[in-house]
Amino acid sequence: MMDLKKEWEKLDKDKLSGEINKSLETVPEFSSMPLEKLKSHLKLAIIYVSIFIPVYLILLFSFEGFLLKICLIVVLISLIWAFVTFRKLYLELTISTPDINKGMKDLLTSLHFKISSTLKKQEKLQLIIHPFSILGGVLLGLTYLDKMNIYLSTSKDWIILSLIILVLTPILYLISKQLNHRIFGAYLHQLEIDIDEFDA
Amino acid sequence: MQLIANNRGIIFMVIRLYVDHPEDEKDLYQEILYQAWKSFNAFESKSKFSTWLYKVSFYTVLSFKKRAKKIEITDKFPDVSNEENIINKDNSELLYDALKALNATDKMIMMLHLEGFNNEEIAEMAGVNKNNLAVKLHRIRHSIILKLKT
Repeated sequence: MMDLKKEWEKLDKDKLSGEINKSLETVPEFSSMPLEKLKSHLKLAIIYVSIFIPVYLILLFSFEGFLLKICLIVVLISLIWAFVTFRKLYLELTISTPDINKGMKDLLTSLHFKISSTLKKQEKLQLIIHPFSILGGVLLGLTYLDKMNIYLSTSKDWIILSLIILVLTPILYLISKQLNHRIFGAYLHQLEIDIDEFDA
Repeated sequence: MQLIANNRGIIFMVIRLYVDHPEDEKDLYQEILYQAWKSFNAFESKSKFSTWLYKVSFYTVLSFKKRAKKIEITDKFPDVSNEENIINKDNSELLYDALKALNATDKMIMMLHLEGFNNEEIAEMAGVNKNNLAVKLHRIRHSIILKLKT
């Protein structure tokens, strides 16, 4: 039988382990791995939400109108909830990732689980936040323009607004789902293949 | 950092077996340095540093998003001189080609085997059952030898 180890030793190790680029001697400050990308997406979402929480608080105390105040409170609660959930997800992804002391299969499985479950939670969360943010936006605009009594005076107007929310929410949900699929879909699929190969 | 510098041959070797794109090579090298630096606190001195660096390198390579391969479609027939090169290649070069053609996990297992790790160590690093690994290793070795003989 052919001795593969001898052939391996014969292989020009300098060719295999020779320098890739001598200028790359410093440790980079950031990473472009999909997990890091997801973490930076979550970080952006946390920043976005934490900017809007004080904005909505200011709006709550600046505008009159019982219904608008109720809507602003609902949006505020959903934003605070989003902030807490996004922060929790971010910390979950950051702490002990990766745990190199684990076996490679477990490492990849936990990476796949962390990314896919975070994406699912993020998408579901958006499904809950969107109706309130649409409603809040519409009411705020109409109150600001002082046209609340013109456009939302009858039950028919409210039905139309409800229908708009009903149509827009799943559309926005599908768009964010599709975006996540575009960014992470092929990568998650490749990870699945790699994980399955360990048992093949 | 000195430890990583002393063992960087491991990083280069892993990268060369997994990617072809020069930009991917550079990105991966940076990425492995980043991951090694970030997880260095988790390094348990009971294992060898080189073993740990192999794990960091394989983890990064396997979880790295590679550039999509571009396939150029041309009207020209394949270059016959390349085929002659394949015929003239020695076994070690053919071994290199055969390794590059393996799937990601088989490549990792075979490379660790060729680098002198025993089955128990490889099974632990891969996170698979020792018996399954032995079967898998036998299959990979057999397929490579067949390729080298033909």
